Amino acid sequence: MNTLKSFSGGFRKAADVKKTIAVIYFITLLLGLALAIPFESQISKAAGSRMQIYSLLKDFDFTAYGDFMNFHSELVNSFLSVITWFAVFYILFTIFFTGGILRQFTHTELHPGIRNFFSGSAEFFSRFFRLAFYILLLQFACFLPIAIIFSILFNAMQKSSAEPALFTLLAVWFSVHLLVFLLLTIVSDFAKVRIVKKDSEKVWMEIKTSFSFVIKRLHKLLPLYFMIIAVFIAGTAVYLAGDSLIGAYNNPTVLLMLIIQQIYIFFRLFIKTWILGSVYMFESVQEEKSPAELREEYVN
Amino acid sequence: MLKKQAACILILLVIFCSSISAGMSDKEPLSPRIANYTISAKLDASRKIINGQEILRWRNTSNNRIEEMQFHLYLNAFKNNRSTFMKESGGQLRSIYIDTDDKNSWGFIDIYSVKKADGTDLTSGIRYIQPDDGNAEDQTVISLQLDKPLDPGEEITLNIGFQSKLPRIFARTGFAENYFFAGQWFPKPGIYEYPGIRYAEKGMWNCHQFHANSEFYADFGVYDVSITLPSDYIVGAVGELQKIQKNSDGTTTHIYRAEDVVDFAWTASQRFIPVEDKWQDVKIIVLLQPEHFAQAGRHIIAVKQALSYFDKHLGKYPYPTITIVDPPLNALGSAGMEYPSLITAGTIWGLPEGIRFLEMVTVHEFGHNYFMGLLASNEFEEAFLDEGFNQYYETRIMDQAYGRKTGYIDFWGFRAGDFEISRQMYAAMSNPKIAEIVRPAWGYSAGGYGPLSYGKTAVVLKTLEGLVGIKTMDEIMKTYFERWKFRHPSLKDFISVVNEITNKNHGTAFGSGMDWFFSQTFYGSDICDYKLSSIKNNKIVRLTGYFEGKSGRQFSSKGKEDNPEYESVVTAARIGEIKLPVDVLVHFEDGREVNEKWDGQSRTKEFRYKGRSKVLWAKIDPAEKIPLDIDRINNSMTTEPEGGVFAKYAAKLLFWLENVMLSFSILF
Repeated sequence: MNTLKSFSGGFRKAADVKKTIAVIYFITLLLGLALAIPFESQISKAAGSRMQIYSLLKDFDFTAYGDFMNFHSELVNSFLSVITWFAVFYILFTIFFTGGILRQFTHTELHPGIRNFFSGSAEFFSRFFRLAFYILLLQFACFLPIAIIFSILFNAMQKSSAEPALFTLLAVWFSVHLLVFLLLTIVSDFAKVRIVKKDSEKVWMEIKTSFSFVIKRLHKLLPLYFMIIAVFIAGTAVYLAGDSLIGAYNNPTVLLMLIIQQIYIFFRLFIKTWILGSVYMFESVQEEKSPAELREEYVN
Repeated sequence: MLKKQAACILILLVIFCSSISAGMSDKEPLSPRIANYTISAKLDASRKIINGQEILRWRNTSNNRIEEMQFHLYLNAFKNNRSTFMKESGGQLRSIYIDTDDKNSWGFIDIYSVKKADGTDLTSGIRYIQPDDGNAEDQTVISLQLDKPLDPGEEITLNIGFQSKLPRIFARTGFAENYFFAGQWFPKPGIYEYPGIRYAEKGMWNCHQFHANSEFYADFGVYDVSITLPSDYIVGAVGELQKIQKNSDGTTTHIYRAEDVVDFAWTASQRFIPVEDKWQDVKIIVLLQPEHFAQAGRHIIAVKQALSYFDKHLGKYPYPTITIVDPPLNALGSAGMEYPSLITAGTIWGLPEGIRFLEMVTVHEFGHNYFMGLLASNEFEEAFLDEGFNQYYETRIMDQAYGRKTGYIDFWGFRAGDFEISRQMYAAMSNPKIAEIVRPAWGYSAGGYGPLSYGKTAVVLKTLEGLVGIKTMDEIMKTYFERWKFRHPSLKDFISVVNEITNKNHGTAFGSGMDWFFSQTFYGSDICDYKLSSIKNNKIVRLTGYFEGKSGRQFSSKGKEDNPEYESVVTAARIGEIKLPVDVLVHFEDGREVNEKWDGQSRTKEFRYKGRSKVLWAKIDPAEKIPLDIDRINNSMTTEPEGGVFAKYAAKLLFWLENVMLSFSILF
């Protein structure tokens, strides 16, 4: 029951802060446009009047793509290398806005305004930065022994095993990594909620408390996360189907493709906020005492 | 005692095989049958050793008295890290490395006895030679001093006792656990070339050391081979299986015969699943790994496509069988290789249908039965004659069977034709001018061997096809095949056929022949690049101002220009050094088109037009007959650019950047 309540409650929480999500989306869009617009300008300058390149509009043309890259790969690669830096910056941005969203969750009765969002973001940034750092260290500390064990196994099997056995080993390896990653992500999410709700400065202690909290309730939390991930997968499937249907072979369809892509990006941000909302609700529900517990408290 | 018993069994088997071969039906030989073998091989599966007894009957077809014979001992390339192969390759082939710390990874071949039929022992006349690089530590070629010279027309019979230690597979041959692939496993004479064979100006041995980039070169002959190994092995080999004989010691002897072939290889594994089919009168045998069984159909369809295409466009496949070997994952070093009537393909479990690597390898390796197996060119000195020519046919077959734009891959929106991939092998080189095609296999600079001998050669042949037309091209190739099959052609022999057929079909349209084409493309390292430089549409302005006329000074003005005239100039340029005749298609606003011909000689060429309609766009080589042009993007130009394609890819970049950022944010 807690799981379903948190699932639906989390959706409502996310819906309550949809304006904030829209702000985050527009900032994300601006960051993307900061690269996409100069990219468009550069490649059209390089090949604007060359008709061979237009075959890439209708469909992928390997010769046109290959010949373009042979002479302009430095241009394209220079943009691609910047993407990594944007991605690193975006992690900091995510750390920043998470505090704001959670502050809005705690003060929903006061109308979650944008000012509230930014002040919350600034207030919790340093704590969340430390939280991110500790979680990253934990991820690395868990991944390394798993990677070492599985790579030893893989090397031992490589000389004598056929592909199905090796692929199975790789699938198990990947699954173990994924589960560990998921577990630490859940711990991190609960730690974030606790830091904001309790206004706690003790980041490492909140991680420890969240860890034991999560372990005790893993049988309820995993289904919660899996349900939201299932929604994400379904949404992605819808996007992919739409993208292949549209084709993007002329100006109107390119515009349509762009709109659908941006809807999908907004959807991803909504999913991320929904997870936070669900964790917030779950944590709140767990804190509620039953009538029997309240009576006992009163009697005592 | 055991050794003596083993030797007796081997000798008995050799006599047995000789008697079989003596009684074989003597259909007309297809080849000169200069080197004929009766080999008895016994595999020690646990020690990875083949004990062999070889009877070689070799005929001197030259006019010279021959005092020595030269042999290839290819397996000695894997003896230690001082061989020429290991030094040149760094211990790898196609990025698969030898495990130098594992004693069992190394391989070699020892000849312990060479005797003539009359019993004369020639063993002491063996010495290692290094005709290519003087590397005294390379033992892949031996010279065998004969006790008396071999006269012209005379045949010598040699009994050679040898032992081959197979390496762990990383470069075509060897073992991987209980899978064996025996390629280049026995002593093999080189070719005695003399005037009339390739470029020989006098009689001498052509017997190169084994190099990192080279393959092989041998005479045609008949092979009678018996292979004895544990009974639980399934065997495949070049030629036709004659008999299977169970022995009392738990081994089985498989006896094969192959006629008019240049090589003999065989394979054995306890895990093979054989699948058979037929194409006309050719028996198809596929030896599959159990985990690849679901891909049997793909192998068979691909080889049938190849059989059918070559039969129609080049010539008849002369052998009764074709065996396709599917190596296991840990033996992929033996994949993608060719032997007469036996090829190794290569795949992985679960390979999607849209990724046609398996089909490409099968078609390519089968094609080598023609280029190398029948047109037995020298793979050391003219590797491009088999690799590049075969690559050209591979692209034709794959693109016809699976689509010009999807022949190689059609998967999740990424598509590429086989010829497109082959062209990019060359066009995407960081320095396409690094070398000319014509050089020995070991003479290419780092990274040049593959792109030039495979990719560029295929592209040059496709360009030749574009120039002379597909009908003439097919006639050229068919003539070349029929004239030179079961012989050793050279590039000059091919050029001679090209000149003969183009002169016959096209007269002097290309000059007195096509030597100018080959001198630029095969013998030169320059590039071909034509560019549409500019399109100018200049409005023709009527007379304005004061002019002196018969009736005195008069004023003229522009007036209203309802229907102006234009002088249009389309400028094409030759950026590369290769000069080829090209078409230029010019398209006007009113829909009219003009197809211009340019001999491609000068640096620039202007095409001028006068009329009421402007030039809208122009394209050099609109029919894409010149794939050698290294940059097709600059071949065209329009005066009305479209922005759609750039917006599409900018939108894609935006989307993927946003996704990357959001994916990284999962870390928090």
